[in-house]
Amino acid sequence: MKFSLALAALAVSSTLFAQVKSVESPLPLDGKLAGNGWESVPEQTGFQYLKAKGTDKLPDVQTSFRAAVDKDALYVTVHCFDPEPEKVNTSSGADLWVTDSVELFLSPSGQPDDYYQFVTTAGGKRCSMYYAEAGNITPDPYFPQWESAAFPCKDGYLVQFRIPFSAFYMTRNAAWSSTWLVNVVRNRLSRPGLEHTTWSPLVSKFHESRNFRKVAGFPLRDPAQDAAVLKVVPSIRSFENGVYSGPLDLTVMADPAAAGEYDLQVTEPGGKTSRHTVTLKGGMNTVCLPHVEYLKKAEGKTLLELTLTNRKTGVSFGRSYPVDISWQPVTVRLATPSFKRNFYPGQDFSKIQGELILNLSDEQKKNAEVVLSLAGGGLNEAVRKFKADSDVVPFSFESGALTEGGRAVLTAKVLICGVEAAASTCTVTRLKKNEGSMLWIENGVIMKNGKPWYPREIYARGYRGGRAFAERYNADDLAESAFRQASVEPRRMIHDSESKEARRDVKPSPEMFEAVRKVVEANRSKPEFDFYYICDEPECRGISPVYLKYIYDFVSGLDPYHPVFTCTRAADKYIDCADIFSVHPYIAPIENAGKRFLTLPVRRVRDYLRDVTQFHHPDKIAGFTGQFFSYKFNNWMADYPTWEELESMSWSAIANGSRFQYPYAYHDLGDRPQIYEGYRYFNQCIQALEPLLLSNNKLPVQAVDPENMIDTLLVEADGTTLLIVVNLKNAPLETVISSEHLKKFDSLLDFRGTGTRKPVNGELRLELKPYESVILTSKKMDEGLKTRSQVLADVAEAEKIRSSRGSLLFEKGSAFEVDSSNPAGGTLGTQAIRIKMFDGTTDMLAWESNRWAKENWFELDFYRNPPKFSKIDVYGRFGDGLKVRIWKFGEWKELTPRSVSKEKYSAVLDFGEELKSVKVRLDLSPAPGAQTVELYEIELLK
Amino acid sequence: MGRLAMKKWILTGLLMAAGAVMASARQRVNPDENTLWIEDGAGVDLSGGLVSGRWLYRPGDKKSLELRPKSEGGFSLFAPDGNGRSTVTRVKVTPDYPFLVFHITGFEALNGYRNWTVGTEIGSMTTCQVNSPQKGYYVYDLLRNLPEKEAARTSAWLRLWLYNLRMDLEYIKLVKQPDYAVRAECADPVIRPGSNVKFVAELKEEAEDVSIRLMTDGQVMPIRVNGEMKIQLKPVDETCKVWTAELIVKTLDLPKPRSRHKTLMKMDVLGGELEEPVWVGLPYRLEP
Repeated sequence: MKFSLALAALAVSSTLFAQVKSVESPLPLDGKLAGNGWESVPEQTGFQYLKAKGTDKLPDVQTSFRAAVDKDALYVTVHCFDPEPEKVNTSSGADLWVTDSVELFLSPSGQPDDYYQFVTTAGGKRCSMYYAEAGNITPDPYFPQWESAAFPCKDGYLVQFRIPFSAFYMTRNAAWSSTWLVNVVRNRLSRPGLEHTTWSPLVSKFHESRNFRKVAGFPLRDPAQDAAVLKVVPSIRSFENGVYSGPLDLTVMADPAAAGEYDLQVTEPGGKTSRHTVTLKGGMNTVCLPHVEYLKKAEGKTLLELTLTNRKTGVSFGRSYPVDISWQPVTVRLATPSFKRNFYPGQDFSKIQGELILNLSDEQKKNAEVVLSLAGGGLNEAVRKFKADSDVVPFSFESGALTEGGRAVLTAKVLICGVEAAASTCTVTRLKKNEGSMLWIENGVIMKNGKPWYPREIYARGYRGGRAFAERYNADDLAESAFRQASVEPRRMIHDSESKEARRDVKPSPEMFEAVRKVVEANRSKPEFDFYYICDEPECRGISPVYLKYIYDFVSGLDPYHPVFTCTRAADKYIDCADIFSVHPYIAPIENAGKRFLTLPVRRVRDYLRDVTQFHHPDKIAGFTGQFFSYKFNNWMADYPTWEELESMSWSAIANGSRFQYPYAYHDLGDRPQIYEGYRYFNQCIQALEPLLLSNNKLPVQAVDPENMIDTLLVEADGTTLLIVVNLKNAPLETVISSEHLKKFDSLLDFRGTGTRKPVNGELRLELKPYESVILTSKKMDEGLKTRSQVLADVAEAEKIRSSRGSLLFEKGSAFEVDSSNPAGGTLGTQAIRIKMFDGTTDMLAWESNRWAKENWFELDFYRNPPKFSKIDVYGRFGDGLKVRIWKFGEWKELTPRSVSKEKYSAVLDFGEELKSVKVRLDLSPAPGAQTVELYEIELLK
Repeated sequence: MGRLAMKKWILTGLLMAAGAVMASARQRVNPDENTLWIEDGAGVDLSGGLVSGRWLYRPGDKKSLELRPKSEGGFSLFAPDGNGRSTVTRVKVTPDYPFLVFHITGFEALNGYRNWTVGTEIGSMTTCQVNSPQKGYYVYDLLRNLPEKEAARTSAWLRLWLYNLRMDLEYIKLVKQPDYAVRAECADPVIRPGSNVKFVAELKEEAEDVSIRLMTDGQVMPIRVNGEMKIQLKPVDETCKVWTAELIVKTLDLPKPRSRHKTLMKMDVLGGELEEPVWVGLPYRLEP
């Protein structure tokens, strides 16, 4: 195919490469290319090597393919020519990735962000994958229903595909395009001279989805086929006569056009098949099949086949889904001790208590008995026997004799008709006092050396703030309760571990365990040490929860005294991989064209907290990494959160169970008064209310809230009551808060306010302003703290100072250019420099020179009508001898100031005359003892 | 691929376009000697029919993009969603008018993925910015480094895409010479380490300083050349209207190659009559 000819054919889109052939009826997969409809399908060829191979020569052994569609499916035949057809490896047992094969890459959305891969070998072996985030993640165990077949032929071999559009179930119709991204690749690997060739021109790998060719002419999928089984979870309740059984939970997404009654067939390969009737509505459906049976013929996971057929229209869709068919007839769930099954020094170890969770059929229950025994660690063996007549059996053992450092073994056995059918064992340890600090989680509260603790600290403390801000920060009382952490993040242990192993469901390498061991051994005995940081945003890089769980268990085994934490937006996915989950729902404000919106509404904050709290694990902590920064570093239109937005999101997080305050980030903390004072304010609030916020005595409370835009928390501790009411909406709301508990009060105090609120018979009427939070206490809890109004007045005053400094450059960084001896600048990039250097904040790092630079300079470049100035104020950390030059008549002219006023972190140069130039340049040197120049603000003044 | 099949493709494409057109806006042809055609909002016409020089718009189609004149001149494109709305037009092209020029004067950003893209089939050129679009003048030499056959066409499709944005333009036009542009000259259609590249800026008005920075399209990021972000140009004479720089490329700070026009030369003209940068498509492939 000649490139220019192809382009000429593509009248509608500028970058289109080809048009898929449309056919009226299905094409057969019979290994023939004539007499069956395939002969009318245009052929594409011109396969080439990856450019990284370094040759423009086309492969001697060529490949061609034909692609066609009907209204329901895509048909592809790939013709792999081979001068030695007898040497093609047609064994069906050949390893998929080291034999002769073809691969299809398809993006029905036409976007490179998500695409599908279908592989079939010359021997007919095959697999399929779905990728999102341009190939970074595989969010679904992708097993669609599709067909392929391989056929040897006289000049090579053919591979034919039929892929129904319903197989692309990870792409909704709303994202479906008539122009797809398509690539076909061929692997010729069964002989020496391994060869990879591609239809789309690619550079170094097959997953360069941006470089896939565009192919037009695909029909929109029938909306009745826009449905997907997204999750399948079996619960095995019994195992009798070789048959496992129990309910099967499905999560099914359906377009409204796909709603209706369906026949669902569940097939276990080589095992049982069952049929069910289910009704789907438009949207997300949770379907529970009450009884499904399995033989569990597969080793490991069982690939269940699910096919849904609409009873009215006959339209069907389906997939396979890997599930664990495992029967755990008995599980021990400990309540005491809870955290990592240890008694910590100071904890009451007199009783071991918990529940046995039984998974037995009614028939089994009739003849079943549970024998629970406890022994070891200095305890005399104790045995309890229970009739297995319910699903949950509470138990309790005296364990006061458990020795320090002793480990007792708890064993539960299920006997059916007197024969042991299953057993479960766990250990309980009474830990010795640790040499260093000791932290654990008890009833949803972090305990530090035996005392409840609500950690409060800014993320990335000390990172890219500059010396002047560090002095302000360190000298100030921001009511923090800081913590020390050590990273065991895989990529920090071994830099390429994410690509090599951490994204797969595998056990980490011995090298990884060894690296983690070194970190743990270096920290676990330190008196000031608090937490291990296991991974930052693991969901963003597709880190496997299976992999992380190995590291979590390893760390917990080596050091049970220090919890493991992570910052994530997918806490539910990683719930077994850490103890503390600081969720970060960044609201990302955008201010533009006189309008403001939040990329993530404040009302979504609670969803992220609930990813943790929904599990009701008393040994897990939900935390909040709120947005205390701006995305201005990569988006001119981004803004900092307002005070009201900060308030609403922070109180919402607290009301929804946050017990770990870790806002992001230090490098922007001093940028705006509301950010800095907001950080202090919430730390102070948490500190003052800490006993209440850590109390588990939460009381029922209702809000009149038809829009579901109000969060509440009513809690009591030490005889004091706290009520939090948060308006999550940027609009006024009226509500009535009611609670039996509130009947005790005829007046509640405004926390950090001067007023009171008057509940009447347990009801409190509130008219909430946009994003307003009402915080009420039954006793005064804000002694010594500024009121909210005073803080807001301080913020307004500081903001007035920031915004009225008189600089001609104030907030105009986007209207001119800057240049410097270090253009990347030691901050978050070139745009961050232009934002921070002219924002009226005179002590936050905007630019930093290279450490060993021979010269340090910063330049302002104006397009037209440069500002007229007579003074320059420069804020930063630099030495004496600041020089200012301007561009005149094609060369630099050094200015001689009439007066210079130099302070520790600033210099004011007064030139005594009006100056104007398209380029103004500062030449600087490091301050004595410093290795770099730091700049915080440059102001030109009239 | 047979020639007959190709013709069928052409026909199919044209028929698809024809069937889709319900309303259109017209561009002005040859408004001056330097301009082959211009769309500046003045001639927007919502009558239907497939006419060369009109923009495709299908009311009610969630992927169609409407072009609306602005009362103060120029026009606006508005995509209230992330559907990937687009409009397409058939425009005249001739080798004498190789420069596609448009002036983006403003944006309104909406929530979600934001993108503007301009593409033409001439040389498969597409250019775009995502997330944080930039105002300024945009200039593309459509024909540089294309085969003669490709350059000899008389018409071409021009397409605009928009995601979650309102974009204001003063104009989009095809001209002989842009008012402001910088030209890159290299013997080879690929710029790579070892290439000798000369940059020439020919301005309408004199300026006090001219420099360029190579930037990526898409997410706008700087590309260092020989370790430097900025390439300083110097005036060739006292008129200060022609500025040049010449360098041998030693390093290009790129993770992977960038194709033709996927790199922009951001030209900063200081002390001239411009208040914004000029973004000029680099009609060369870059290979690190």
